[in-house]
Amino acid sequence: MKNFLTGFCTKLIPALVAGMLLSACGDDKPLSSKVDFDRKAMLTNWIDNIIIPSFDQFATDANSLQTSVKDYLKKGDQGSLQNLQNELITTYTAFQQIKAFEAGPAEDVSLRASLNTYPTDPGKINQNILNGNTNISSASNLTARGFPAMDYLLFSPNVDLNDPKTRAYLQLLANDIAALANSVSTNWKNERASFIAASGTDLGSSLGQMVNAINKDYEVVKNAKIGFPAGKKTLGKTYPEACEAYYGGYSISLAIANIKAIQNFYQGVSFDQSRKGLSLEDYIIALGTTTDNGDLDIVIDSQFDEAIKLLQNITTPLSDAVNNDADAVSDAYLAIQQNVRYLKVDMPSAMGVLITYQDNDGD
Amino acid sequence: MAIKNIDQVLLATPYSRLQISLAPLAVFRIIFGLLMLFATLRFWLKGWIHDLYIAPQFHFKYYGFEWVQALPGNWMYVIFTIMALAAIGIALGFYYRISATLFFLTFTYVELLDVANYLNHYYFVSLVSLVMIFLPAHRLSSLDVRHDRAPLTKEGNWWYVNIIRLQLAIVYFYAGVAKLNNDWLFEALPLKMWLPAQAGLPIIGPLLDYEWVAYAFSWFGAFYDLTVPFFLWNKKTRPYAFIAVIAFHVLTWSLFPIGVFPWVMIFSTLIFFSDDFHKKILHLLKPVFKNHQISASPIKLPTLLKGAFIAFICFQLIWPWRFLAYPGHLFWTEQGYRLSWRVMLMEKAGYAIYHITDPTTGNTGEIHPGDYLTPNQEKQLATQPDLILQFAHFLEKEYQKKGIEDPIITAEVYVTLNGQGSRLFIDPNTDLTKVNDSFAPKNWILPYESRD
Repeated sequence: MKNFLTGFCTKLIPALVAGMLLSACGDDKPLSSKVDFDRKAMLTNWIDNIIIPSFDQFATDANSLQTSVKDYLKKGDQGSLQNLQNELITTYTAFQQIKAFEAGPAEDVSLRASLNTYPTDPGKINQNILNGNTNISSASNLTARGFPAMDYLLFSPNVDLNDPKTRAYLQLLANDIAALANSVSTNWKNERASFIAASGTDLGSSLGQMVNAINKDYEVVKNAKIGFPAGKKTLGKTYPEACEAYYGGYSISLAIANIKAIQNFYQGVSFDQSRKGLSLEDYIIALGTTTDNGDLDIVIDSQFDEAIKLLQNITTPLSDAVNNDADAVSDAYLAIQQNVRYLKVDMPSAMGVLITYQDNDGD
Repeated sequence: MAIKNIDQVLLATPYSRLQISLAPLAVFRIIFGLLMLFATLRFWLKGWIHDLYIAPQFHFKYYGFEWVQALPGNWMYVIFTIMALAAIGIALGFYYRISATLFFLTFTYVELLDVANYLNHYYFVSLVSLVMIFLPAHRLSSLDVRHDRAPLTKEGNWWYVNIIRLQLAIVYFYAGVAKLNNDWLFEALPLKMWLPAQAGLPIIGPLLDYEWVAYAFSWFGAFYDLTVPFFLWNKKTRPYAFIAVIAFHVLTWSLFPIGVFPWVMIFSTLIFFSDDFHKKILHLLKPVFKNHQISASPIKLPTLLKGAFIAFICFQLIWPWRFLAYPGHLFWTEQGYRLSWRVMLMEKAGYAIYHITDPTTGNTGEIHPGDYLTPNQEKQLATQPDLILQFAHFLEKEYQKKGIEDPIITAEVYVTLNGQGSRLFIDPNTDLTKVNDSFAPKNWILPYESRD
């Protein structure tokens, strides 16, 4: 045994050292090279220039929406209705800017599900109106709440906005949206320091949270916004009424705003578009990750562009297009789909971020 | 008196060297029982009994163990209660054989429920607890001896202690052999990808961004795994080896989410220490176990059991090499990957969707595994061909229930391995409902093309 050990060590150790030196020499990069990336600076850029400003804007728009409802209920004329409808579209679009950031305070209140569960349920809404229901925070009311419910009240021809109970419900919905928007916006500001401090890559880190959050949301865009109405999961049977903003018919512009927001976040572009800070894109460049189609940072970015371009090709409301312009919808869907693998597989893998929303041991 | 003399004579003969102190085994029994109790409670408190065994509507089965089913409702908690009580029974040596048997059965049952939860250290625990059933680990410092259910026996056959040492040696050595591959040694992969992610750690953190550190860790890791069993076995090198054991496992514990495994290994390797060391530990435990009896004669090893031990070790020496019988890159196909001590060896991630066609109408649709699976199951599915196949068969049955008699089901799966860009993993044109799992090579896995 002793001889074996001695022999083992005297032969193996030099061999290992030699091999290591050899591998170092053969490599085109020197061993002293290192990943040079300041994750804290990226988190600071995210929270200060993207997350807090976009939640701020969302809260401001939600407050205007609330005011517009009051204004309309007071005046009741066509002009104030028009204004209210536009205000809804503005706020709904502002919501697309923040819905991918379902982490921290937004995750605590399940913001996306609370404000944007669709298709909305007109039966449930009418029942709430009839009963004069003033509490819509329960889980059973997700389909009678938020933007889809307002979209129904303001754009459906079946709704009588002169009915006092309906008008009360309209106000209730706007108040609910504004309350949530304001509280989440405030809470993000309170969590700024802890967001920046969690600079690791584990599940609880801000990077881990945000990478998982934008992936989850990007899949929601793919599946709920486009895939499901287009019959991708139902063997071709389409569900036009399952489109986001079905009654107002502006689904595509919401989808584009949603993807654009994720792309801007990926690029680290500030909410006001004025500057670009450290981002996921920069992180990938620092890591030097490549794919079979070229550098990963470029592949992801151009795939976002492609998805937006093909969505723009859909010119009619999505609820029409799923039946009458199915090829254009399919093309856009596939373009969105193509990026999932890069965002969900290549990028987190390169960064050492766990893509799992479940706590577990590994080995 | 005469008998004692004969014993003394025998002690000098080569044969008698086969009789050794059982003290290391008794200490190992106590440590193993306590660690398993801790692991079981930890699993429970983290809510994993519900998350991994009650919540999922589908479980991935081990090939040949499809008949193992999860218990309905809250009955899984009963299994874990038995497991925890059995672990206490092992630690105390309380109705030891029954405790060891119950622990092995409950633990292995739980492990067989879902491949998606496979971890090498669970396999290790199953193997050790199987062997423990047949070891006289309760013959000293146990409640069984204290209450006269078993005779105090201080010595026994060489195998009774050394089979555990051999088991540990196999785990380490094979983990080391598995690291002797191009990516690990000459690219420092996957550590080159994993370490910078931990750069926020105190003290060593800033070092982890450097490439040479990844190389140093890779080579040290391989060297450690290959040599530590020998260094532990050798009396002179043992103290240094044990320091290395502690350093290695504390480091891996702080860097990676590997649960209780590092602690299991650190404490298990104590079994390599001398008889005197273990006797001192047992002496400290005297108030608990109170040995008053006179030691019975050393326990012999029945020939049948010896044969079984040798077969057990031989199986483990051979089984990890089965991958050689398969074509292609082992890390890519994972044919023969499990049950072989391949630990923390690759960075692999994937994304899978299924496509279904109803041949009678020609209608097609997409299926997202996440609609049926837990996040962990979905993650495991996306990189392991046998799971991809199993799930296709599950989907076939689901859609037959919906009235599509003979659906065509294909999978579109993208996988990245050790930082090489994701690529198609399996043949997207293969109707997986027409493929059955077996030990035969899976020719519907697309070949792995390296970037270089």
